[in-house]
Amino acid sequence: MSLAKELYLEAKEIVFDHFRTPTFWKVIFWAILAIGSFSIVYRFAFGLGASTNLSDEFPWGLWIGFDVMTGVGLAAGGFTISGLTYIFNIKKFRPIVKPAILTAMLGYILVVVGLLVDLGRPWYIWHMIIYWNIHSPLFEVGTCVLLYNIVLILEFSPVVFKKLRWSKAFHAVKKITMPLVILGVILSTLHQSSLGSLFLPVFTQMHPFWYSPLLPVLFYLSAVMTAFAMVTVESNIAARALRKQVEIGVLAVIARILVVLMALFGVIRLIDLYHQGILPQIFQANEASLYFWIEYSFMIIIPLILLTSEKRRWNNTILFYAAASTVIGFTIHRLNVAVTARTLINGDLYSPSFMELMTSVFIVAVGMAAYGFISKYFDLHDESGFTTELEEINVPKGGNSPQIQMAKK
Amino acid sequence: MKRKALLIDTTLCVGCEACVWACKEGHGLSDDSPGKRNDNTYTTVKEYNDIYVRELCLNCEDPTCAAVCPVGAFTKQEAGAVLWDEKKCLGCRYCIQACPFHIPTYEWSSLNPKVVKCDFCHDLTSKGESTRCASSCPTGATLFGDRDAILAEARRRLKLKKGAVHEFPVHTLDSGDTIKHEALGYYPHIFGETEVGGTDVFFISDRDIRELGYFNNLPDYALRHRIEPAMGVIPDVIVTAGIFFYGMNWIINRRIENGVEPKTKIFGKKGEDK
Ligand code: SF4
Ligand code: SF4
Ligand code: SF4
Repeated sequence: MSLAKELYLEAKEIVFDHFRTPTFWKVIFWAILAIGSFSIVYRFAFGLGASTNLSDEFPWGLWIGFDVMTGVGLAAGGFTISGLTYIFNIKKFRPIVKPAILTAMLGYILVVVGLLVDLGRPWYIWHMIIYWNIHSPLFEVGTCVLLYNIVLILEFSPVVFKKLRWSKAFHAVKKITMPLVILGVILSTLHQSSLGSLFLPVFTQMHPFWYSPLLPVLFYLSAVMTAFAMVTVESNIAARALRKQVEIGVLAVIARILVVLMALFGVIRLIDLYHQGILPQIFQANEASLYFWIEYSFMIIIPLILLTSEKRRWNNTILFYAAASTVIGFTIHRLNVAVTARTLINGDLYSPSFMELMTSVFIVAVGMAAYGFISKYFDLHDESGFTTELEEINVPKGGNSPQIQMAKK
Repeated sequence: MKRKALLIDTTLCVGCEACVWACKEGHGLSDDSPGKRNDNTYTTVKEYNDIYVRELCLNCEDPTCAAVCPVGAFTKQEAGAVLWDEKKCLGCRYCIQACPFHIPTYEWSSLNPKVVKCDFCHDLTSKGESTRCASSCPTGATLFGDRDAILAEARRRLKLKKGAVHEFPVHTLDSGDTIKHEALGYYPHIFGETEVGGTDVFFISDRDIRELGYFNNLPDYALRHRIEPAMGVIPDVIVTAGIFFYGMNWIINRRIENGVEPKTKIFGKKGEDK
């Protein structure tokens, strides 16, 4: 049987398997897919005005606040885990590095999809490449996201090449792993923080709880922090889907990093409010402080309490709920910066339309489905390099790249 | 060509909306009822208790919209206009989000939407002629002229004695037409002289116009200076991070090669690491 046919049959099997046993969640998934695609078609057929609740007072809504600003943050696991694994050579993270890169790759592709839906003239998105305004944070974000998408696809490509048995391409990419990872870390650092810079000129129109000259730093820190929470959540979901054990040893380590980062972010957030002279205001009972405390509890307080004891860090259920709480809190934080802060100052009301909501849900669902398929179809957990026979032929003798050395072991 | 400017004196404005209709007619916009600026209305006259204040693009000297647009679709013209380039815009609406005066509006119903705002009548002002709103204003509440001369006129008015009758030029500073009017007394602030780095539309009034709620508490510098510290460190981050991570990787790998395992034990229980 030819390789192409083999690959095709395998893919077919996974897809057929999906339809064989319709469960409650699968029905929901197909409903989301149907309503979501309808919403997107509707948006392109009748325009932003007809499909969204956006207005001149509220030009950025859920699609920017969630699909882009939260999406980019949640996909930060790609650069944090690959950085720790490859740059700092922490072997412990090897089993989760490929799943993290896959999540990041899918996440960033979907960010671009979300952006294409949101832009008024998506067919001009390439204008970012030819008309440069290097002083605009959005230009910075756009360029970095574009480049980082390429980096992520390259970082993930060895998995695909292995499946296709393209050994030359596999080794070519493996050789540039380190430059790729470092480039990925730098690009991520730049655009994760620039996402916060987007709001620097808008300070007169934001509630002070969410505006800060430190926004770029806060955005970077919160993204790095949430990246570890995301890895925990996603390992759990993937383990359940693939009927495997979670890597509790790795996750307990991650939980410890998470605790440190949460404490750091939680304190910096308060110090920042203190320096702006509005720390006491969070204890007044009003709408703004309510939003603040919801965000702060989910993001920092609840997970911090859950994870401070060593014993609880080795309990997967607790780990999962703590991490999920951080992810939820992070989402609230980003939406507060993008939407609530403006609502509270201008008094203009915005809540997403049904179609906006369903488009965002659609994007998340597509991402999860793609992750499910790819993690079944490709082998994400084998870090041992190429199949043995090919390796012997192709690995250059005395190659001193750590990856190749590892592959030889 | 000298920089042009508009002076809007709320003490002279009677709320007749001649400017609104002249602007609509001159730009070929439909004559649906204004009241709110939108893609068919570049300017409106808003009533605050007993005074009327015009809303229009202030054509900032150092415009926020131009600073934030990722593709640089906005450009400041010599005569004063801040113009939007249809050929560049990709519709991210950052300009609408960031303008401190909430000026640009969007063609929400269009499938190929434009960003819409007052263009300072660039077709006329680039030739040194007056804007349509100033030419049509019967009371001189909107007055057109060279920017420095307009500022001098504003300063002259702030000093006028309350209650006395004075002469006010109409349409443009050098039109020769004037009307006589009793000065209501002015609050000593020219809005737009320093706000966000200066604008080409100035407001003077008998009260502090900044307290009307429409104009936020704005700094004296262009808002792009808020972004610059963050954007300025980008090259430094690239270089520093590049060297740092390559260096770390080199050190750690050398230690592994030499048999000195990095202390990954700090992560995880003792004896956990392979
Ligand atoms: S008022 Fe707003 S739209 Fe007009 S030039 Fe200034 S920043 Fe741009
Ligand atoms: S909407 Fe158009 S003009 Fe406005 S910032 Fe975006 S690209 Fe620039
Ligand atoms: S300057 Fe021209 S475009 Fe602007 S409000 Fe006046 S008439 Fe309209």
